[in-house]
Amino acid sequence: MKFAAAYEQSRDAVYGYLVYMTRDTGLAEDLSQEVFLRMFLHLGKFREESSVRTWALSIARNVFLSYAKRKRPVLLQEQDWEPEPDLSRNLPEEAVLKKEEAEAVRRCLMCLGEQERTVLLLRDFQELSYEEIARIMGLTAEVIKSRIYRARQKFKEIYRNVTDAE
Amino acid sequence: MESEQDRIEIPEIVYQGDDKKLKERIFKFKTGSLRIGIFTLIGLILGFYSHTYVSDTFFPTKFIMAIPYKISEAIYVSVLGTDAKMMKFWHGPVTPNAFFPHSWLATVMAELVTVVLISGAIYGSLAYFTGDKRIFTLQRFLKFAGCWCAAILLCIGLAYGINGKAVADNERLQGEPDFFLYHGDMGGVKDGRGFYGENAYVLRELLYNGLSPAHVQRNAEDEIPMHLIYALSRIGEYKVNCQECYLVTEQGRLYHVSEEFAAVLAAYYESGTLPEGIQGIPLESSTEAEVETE
Repeated sequence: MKFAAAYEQSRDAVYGYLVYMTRDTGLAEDLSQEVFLRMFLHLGKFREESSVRTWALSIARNVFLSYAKRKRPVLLQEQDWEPEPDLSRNLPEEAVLKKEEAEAVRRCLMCLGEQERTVLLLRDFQELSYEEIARIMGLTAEVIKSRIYRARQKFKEIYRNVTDAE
Repeated sequence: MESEQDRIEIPEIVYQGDDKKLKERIFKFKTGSLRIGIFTLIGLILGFYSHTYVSDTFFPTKFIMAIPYKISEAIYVSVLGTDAKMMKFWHGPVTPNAFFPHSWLATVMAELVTVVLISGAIYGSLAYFTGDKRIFTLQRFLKFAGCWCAAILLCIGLAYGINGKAVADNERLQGEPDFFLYHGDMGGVKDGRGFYGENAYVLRELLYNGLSPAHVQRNAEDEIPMHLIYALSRIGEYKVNCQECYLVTEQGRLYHVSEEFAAVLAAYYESGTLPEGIQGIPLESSTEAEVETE
């Protein structure tokens, strides 16, 4: 497989995952550079036992964990709900609502721990199978199913509390 | 069973920026690797000429050129040690101050190949450390350095292995040697001369005819030195007692030699010339060859 094809197949998946995990587009871009460098260097070892996207997300998770452990351990932990930021009033109402909703989802995700966030993103955002998620996280599919269930329950509770409060 | 309403709607994120930005580290890796390659090549070339530091009079270049050679010298001579101290008689065909005086090939491995590798490693590492730290990380450098260490260790191992075999073969007088003989007097050795190729033919015949292991009491006072050169790449130092007709190797192995050989050696030591008929291929052998062809 050529790198150009692997890049095209995994670019948005990697970037999106890292944006949600870091809530910082600049940092997500920086970490994405490292992910694609590692893919470039190790493409020869990729045996196509899984999809390119799964492989890329596995690298992305490792890069994120490595960065968070060394530089920002707070990204691995559950965080407190943060106040809503000021949004641009030049956008149409529908676009503003969509943006608010997206921002609320991101902030609710940050209220979860790293593992819960990861399983939700890989299942509900990246639409990977249980087996692919299990391969990325080094767990069994059964464990992944139960973690996804618990993470969803927790996310919904946080989201409900936030929307009720507003 | 999971249903669609269990799923959480997470908004899609598409990268809006320039792809060049996401591939920036790959581009920098390629240019950085090229730079490391060029520096390494320069290092290899400078390592090839490192030994010329001796004749360099300009101190800064002398210092820079000397570094790889001196590191190699420190490894072989100071840290690991060589069998150069086994060689007692540094005359004639023996290269002065050679790391491995018994084996020309082992000396080349030590004084040239190892030096070239060390120099390549140094300059390559310099380029590595001046590269983008996000890409050329310490972890990646350890792999880079590990490869160089493996290459250098392999070279060192080969040098010692080649020399070890040379010394072992010298002990068994294995091969068809050329001779470097010495002449002198009671005061010691004065001069020496080499006998190579055809000129060593008769000497070789005399040496190996009657050569057999011996168990005798050595009389070191009456022993005279001799060097044997095998295939112009391996040198052995021997002592011969011409009165008692024995030869002793560097490691003390004793062999009987024929009286004819001992007599020739003694004659050369006294007069500085070989008896008639010893140099070159004997006339009888040449005549027989002519008769056969007719």
